[in-house]
Amino acid sequence: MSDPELKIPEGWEERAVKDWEWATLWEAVEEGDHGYAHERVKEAIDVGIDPRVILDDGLFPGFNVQGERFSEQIIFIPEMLITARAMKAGLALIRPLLAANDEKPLGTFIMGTVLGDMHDIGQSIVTIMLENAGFEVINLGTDVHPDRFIEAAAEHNADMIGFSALLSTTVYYQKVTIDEFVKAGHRDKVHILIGGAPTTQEWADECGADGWGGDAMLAVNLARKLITEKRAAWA
Amino acid sequence: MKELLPRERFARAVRREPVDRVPVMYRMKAEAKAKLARVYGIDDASTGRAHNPELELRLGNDAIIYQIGINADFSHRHIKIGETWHNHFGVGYGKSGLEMRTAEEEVEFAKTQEFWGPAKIVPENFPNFHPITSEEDLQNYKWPDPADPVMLAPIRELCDKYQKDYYIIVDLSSSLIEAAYAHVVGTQNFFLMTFDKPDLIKKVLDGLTEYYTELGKNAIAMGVDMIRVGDDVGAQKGMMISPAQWRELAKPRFEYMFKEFRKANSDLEIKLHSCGDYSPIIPDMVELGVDLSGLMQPTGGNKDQVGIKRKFGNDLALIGGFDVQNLLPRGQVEAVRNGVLETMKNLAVGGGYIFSPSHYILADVPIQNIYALIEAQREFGTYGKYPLN
Repeated sequence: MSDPELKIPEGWEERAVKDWEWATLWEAVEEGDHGYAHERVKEAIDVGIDPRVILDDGLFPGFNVQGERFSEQIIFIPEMLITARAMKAGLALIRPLLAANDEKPLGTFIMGTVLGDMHDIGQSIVTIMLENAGFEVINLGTDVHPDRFIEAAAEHNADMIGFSALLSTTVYYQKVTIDEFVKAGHRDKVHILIGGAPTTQEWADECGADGWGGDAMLAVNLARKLITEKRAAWA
Repeated sequence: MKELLPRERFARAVRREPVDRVPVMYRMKAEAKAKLARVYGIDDASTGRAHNPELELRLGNDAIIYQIGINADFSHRHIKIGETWHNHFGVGYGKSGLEMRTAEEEVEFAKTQEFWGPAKIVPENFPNFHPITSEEDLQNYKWPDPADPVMLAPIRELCDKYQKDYYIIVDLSSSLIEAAYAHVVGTQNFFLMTFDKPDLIKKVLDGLTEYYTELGKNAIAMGVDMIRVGDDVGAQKGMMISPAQWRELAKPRFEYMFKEFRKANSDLEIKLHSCGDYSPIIPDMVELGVDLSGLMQPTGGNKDQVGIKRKFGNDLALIGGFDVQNLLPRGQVEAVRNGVLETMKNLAVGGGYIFSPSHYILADVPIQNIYALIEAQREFGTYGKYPLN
């Protein structure tokens, strides 16, 4: 297991302003310094760097390398959480600018832990990673009734839904919730992903989900893949 | 070998000495226990502090395990929807699963609790209020009384009644890192505060160490054979916190705790449990002198039971190993039998092993699978017979 390295975005100098540097922001995101991340992103906005460029060149490198390390179990939940918090501090400043530039989110994702289950640390991490990957995520929290998932999916015209569950007694409600989507006539309008400790690809197939997020990175990569396919099919 | 008394069988397995058959340990949550108690005609299937071990003994348990500490009450208590109940740590708990249930859905829910099938959803109690999230909270915080007779008195009764024949374990439940993140501080708070407010986290852990050390010593004074300390730091595929952070935050505190326990009784045996995969810190557990542990969640990260047994089986005894995430709740009877056979082959050969599902038997387990489990354990768990010959 080798330690993943931070990937410096090619040609970043041309997209920034003269004498600009990103290295301190990469490091700040990597080390979870949200105060500095906020400051540095603000400076970048003030000098007129394009918000998309700030996101891709300034924020993502540090976040991505920590994401890979999290997958490889080189870092763990606390380190991932502080990096996510630093990323979020920067993203909070950029998101309104992206929206004003008419940049649409990659897709709309409804996230929640199924009825009966109150565990949320895993789905919180996946939520942050999906947001950072460009999705608009509506997190319904824990103990979410199937009707609330369906209502939220309709209200936000969601592309994808994610059901989390930690207990073997509650994973069953992933299936129940999918069945409710079928009954409500909403199943074909969304992709449904499941995840959580007792879940497997076999269970995902059995309960009728479109995919299984075996860990946070797998979940995000799968969501990206499915949304890209969906967009391509519509094009 | 002549038939051993259950307490000898369990104790000898913990010490990795030869036994007649593999000792067993079944633990059940209230719903599963109630279901099974009906079959056995046992009226009192109480769990938690009112724990009645009769059913577990009928199933073949060689030890009696009695839980005190922060987990002892909340998960066994009936909490009404919308209500918050506070335990002796001042942690608040509410109930999940029923918040939006209509009268009609209530009827549907009752149907899912059928006898032969799995219960489809079971409301659980979860922490929803964490008493220490700031330095000020900590200053005003009153730690619970580790000599609380309400918690301790039943231990004496269990010892008087059963210790002649059975091995007595007191389970201190979540005792340190888990007690902090899941209960006292809150999960995200805890993980972020290890960076933002490390001193506060250390003080909370010191307070927990002090409480649990005293609580454990009080239980030891009543003559228990083993103290079980549970502290979940494993996730499905690996640890929640880094091994380095565990060594900084948990290890020295456990070292202190276990030393104090052994000062109180040098023959005491200690079990350290974590859910999930905590294989990176098993060598540390060996260093701490842990007698029994159960890194045996076969669906998790480190699935190599044979490897774990080979590597650590000379240093500590192992417990668990039967899959409760998929096989037990959803497997067919024959698959459950084969699972028991595999577990015995992997872990029981050479002794130093206690057969057990890797966690509690929950409400989602069909009763025929519990039967299959017990039957297969009886069939494949005798030394000198297949597969342990």
